[in-house]
Amino acid sequence: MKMKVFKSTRHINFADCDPAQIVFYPRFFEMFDRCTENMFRDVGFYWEVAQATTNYVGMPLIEVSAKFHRPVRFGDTVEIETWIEEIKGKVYVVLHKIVNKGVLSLEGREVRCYAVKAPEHASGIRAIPLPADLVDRLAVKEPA
Amino acid sequence: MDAAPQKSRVVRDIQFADCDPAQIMFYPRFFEQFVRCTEVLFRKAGVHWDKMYGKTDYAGTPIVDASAKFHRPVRFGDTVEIDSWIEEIKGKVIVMRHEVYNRGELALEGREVRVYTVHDPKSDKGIKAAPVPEALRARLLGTR
Repeated sequence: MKMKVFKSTRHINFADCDPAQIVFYPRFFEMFDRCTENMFRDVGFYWEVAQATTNYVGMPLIEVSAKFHRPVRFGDTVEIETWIEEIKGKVYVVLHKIVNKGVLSLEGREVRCYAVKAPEHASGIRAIPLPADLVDRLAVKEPA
Repeated sequence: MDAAPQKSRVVRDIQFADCDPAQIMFYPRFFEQFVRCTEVLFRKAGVHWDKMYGKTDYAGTPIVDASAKFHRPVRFGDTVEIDSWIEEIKGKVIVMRHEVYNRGELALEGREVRVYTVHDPKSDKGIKAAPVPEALRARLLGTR
């Protein structure tokens, strides 16, 4: 299944940067989190609405990583591409690519799951596979 | 000669400002914590990042790879212990490891791969990667 690629643009502000004049690297993980949320919002799945109206709890993170190729500086404007790379049982993998002036600056990878309320569990939540209708909305529509 | 590698332990209260609407630590905050712990460990070895900038040819230790594996959530109000150490220094590369413990249980593990850099007016980036100086290496690894 081919998944949609979600594009966003982000201006790098003073507040993003460190004393070396570049983006303080943990800020990129904040950007990844926003882009993942916005990918779901773009297909009409609003986390706060789902929490209030369904048994959805959240999209907890299991693993995350980033590879940094080039610095991103104060004043740059970057383009971010976000998509679901893989769905494997109860977990799914989101990839993020950050491009600065046409050159790949860094790549991020988040491994998450879809968690629902589970009062019978000590943690109060359990993971389930991404619901089929949601996967369908995130996928590229094949021509009929 | 081969003394134990430098280790640091930082104790941290998880505050309101660290947390997200799910009442747990917002995951990018852990990477901020890793940066703080890395700086603490360098200071412990007598290497003060602030004092090196501008006074030596040192130009920082930019990140090339950062990752974390999350085992258990860390909640608003918890107090965590973070153990940090250098796993390896190989040429220009420094590998940092971090373990975050919550009530004695491993909550998450982090890994940062950094490169040692020096100023290089000949490079268009102004800096270049360089081997970690032997004296610094010995101090960081606790072998001197």
